[in-house]
Amino acid sequence: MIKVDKNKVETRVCQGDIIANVEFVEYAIEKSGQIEISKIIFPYVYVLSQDCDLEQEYSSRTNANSQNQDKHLISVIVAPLYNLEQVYDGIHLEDIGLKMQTISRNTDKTENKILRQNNNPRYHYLEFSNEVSIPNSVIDFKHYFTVNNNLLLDKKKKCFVCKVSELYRENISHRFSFFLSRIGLP
Amino acid sequence: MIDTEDIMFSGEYNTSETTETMKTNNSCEAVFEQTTVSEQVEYSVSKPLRIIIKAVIKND
Repeated sequence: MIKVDKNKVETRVCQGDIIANVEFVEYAIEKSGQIEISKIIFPYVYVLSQDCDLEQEYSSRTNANSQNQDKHLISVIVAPLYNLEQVYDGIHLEDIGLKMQTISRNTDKTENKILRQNNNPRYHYLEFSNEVSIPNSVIDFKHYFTVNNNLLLDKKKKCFVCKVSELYRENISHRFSFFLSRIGLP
Repeated sequence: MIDTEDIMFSGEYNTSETTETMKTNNSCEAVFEQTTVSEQVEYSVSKPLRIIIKAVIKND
């Protein structure tokens, strides 16, 4: 079970934040005078960007005497949290037309242990205490995306859920970087 | 659970009921009228959900 902080003490976006109802714009096109925008709303996302980058960006933006915008970020990296029970059934993305691989919910099965013991590089299993209003979930590193930092900060003001504690978020950060840097051998 | 069809909306220009505006590169004004959902709705979903917004550009 991971430890989290439910108090929103920071006025900026932080690594380890879990924020609800975050939008990802798939595309925005204009054709013959008509605009079409497609977006996906994710129930929960986990902030993966390095906390020092987020802190420096916030300091730079809020410092009126800042000499330049060198520390400004274009966007923040996040990854979606999926409901564990839905992941077992492979239905967590059915509302956007995707059927995913099923995983046995039998805790004695190897594939279930691999998921919950974080031995699959793609996933990070999060077991929350009853104090947190999120079901046990899985971060899917393969589905990471970015969000404009100003929009994410606005969303955090209304939809902040909790912040994963330091040691645990470092573990997640480390596993995410490992996932991105893995080498696929033939 | 929200049904995708319930919140998919298409734009129709109506000056009296505009909910969002944006400027495009050629300074046209696009007006979004959300026909089935008000702007104040805060989406809350249990699974990822796709929303498609369609709007017509009014070229004055």
